Amino acid sequence: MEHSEAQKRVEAYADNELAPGAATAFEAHLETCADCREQLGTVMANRRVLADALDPGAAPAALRARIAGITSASARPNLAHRRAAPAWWLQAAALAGVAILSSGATFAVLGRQDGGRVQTLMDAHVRAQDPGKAIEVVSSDRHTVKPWLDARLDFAPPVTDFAAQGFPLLGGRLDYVEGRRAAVMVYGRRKHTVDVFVRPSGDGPPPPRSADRRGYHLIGWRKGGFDWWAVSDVDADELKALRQLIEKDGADHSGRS
Amino acid sequence: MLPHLDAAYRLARWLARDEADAEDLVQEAYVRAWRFFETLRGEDAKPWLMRIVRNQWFSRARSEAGRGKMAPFEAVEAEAEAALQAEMDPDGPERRLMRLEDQALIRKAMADLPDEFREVLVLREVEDMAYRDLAEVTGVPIGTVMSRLSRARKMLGERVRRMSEEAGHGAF
Ligand SMILES: [Zn+2]
Repeated sequence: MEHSEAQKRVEAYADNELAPGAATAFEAHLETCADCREQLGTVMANRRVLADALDPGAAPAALRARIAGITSASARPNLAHRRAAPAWWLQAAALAGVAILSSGATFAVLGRQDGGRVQTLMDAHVRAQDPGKAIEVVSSDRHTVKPWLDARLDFAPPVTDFAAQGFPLLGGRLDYVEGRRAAVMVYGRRKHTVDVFVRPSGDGPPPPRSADRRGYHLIGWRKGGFDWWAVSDVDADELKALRQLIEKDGADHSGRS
Repeated sequence: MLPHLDAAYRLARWLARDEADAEDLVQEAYVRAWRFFETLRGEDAKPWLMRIVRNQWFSRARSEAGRGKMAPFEAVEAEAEAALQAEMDPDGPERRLMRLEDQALIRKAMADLPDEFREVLVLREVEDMAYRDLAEVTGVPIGTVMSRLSRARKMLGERVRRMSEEAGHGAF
């Protein structure tokens, strides 16, 4: 390894971030170069000093107790109990072109068997309008979104961008449906977003076929070993169009891995 | 109970630079995280939680700094870069040996660095997180993490040296 190459790798080596081959080559250069040895010594010594100097210590016990109290007392809160949103929340939601529900707003109580699940999915869509929450991996590239989801799930959700058909992929996130992890692909539709939940079909009942609550629509279907739900405030017909795209895409890809 | 809380607190302390603000930040982040996940355990959850803390901090900082008019970090970074150029050769080797007895100076110098520099420094030096985790927390590519971390270390070292000289500690 050249000296100039080695210089660029001093920090990565000190951070234990060089690949094994590169680390070996770097070490071979170190044997011959006092300059690089000195630099490495400095970087490593500084790291030790900083680890101490920059450590503000553990979280205060009172803070720990306070958070433990909040999180154990309230199970995952639903929309009805959410506190008034801070200004930046409203601003970001407005920027995203999302209908804002006033605090205390709640969906109609549902009598049907699917009611609870419909509610859960719609809540998930609405609360996901929090900034930093709606999309955890922001990318229109399925080659970025898919590995991100795959790495966090025990199944591999199909991910496709439908920008050409008017539903650009904006990104993805993780969420829970009935206590089980689901992948969520977020698509744009003009200034609105559509959340598409997907998880492997279990033993449970198939997804509700459709539901409408307070301007939000949901459609569900079971296909290709997965349960799917699309939730949004766009027209139900537009959700159906997206469903067709997804189903067609699934058929096109079946037989391939 | 409450995994990664100490790590979240240390990051929040360096972002907010104020005890009460840091505690608020951590509390908000945990309550938010709690809504979406049943468990926060496991090493996978650490970058994710840290990301919530920092996103919360940056969205708050941005709304306070004039409703979205805050300069993007590229501008801040360019400015920091220029300052670094004036102070030293940013591509030159790191030769400033910091000393444990300069802890107070180091903390003072750290507090004056741009947010994004403090962030990578605390994640790397205190939390010992890998580059790929830093990339996940900060939402930038690994190459950017590496150059940002390197700049942050040099700038911190240079500032500590200057402050130490001004305080009459003598040259390094
Ligand atoms: Zn060398």
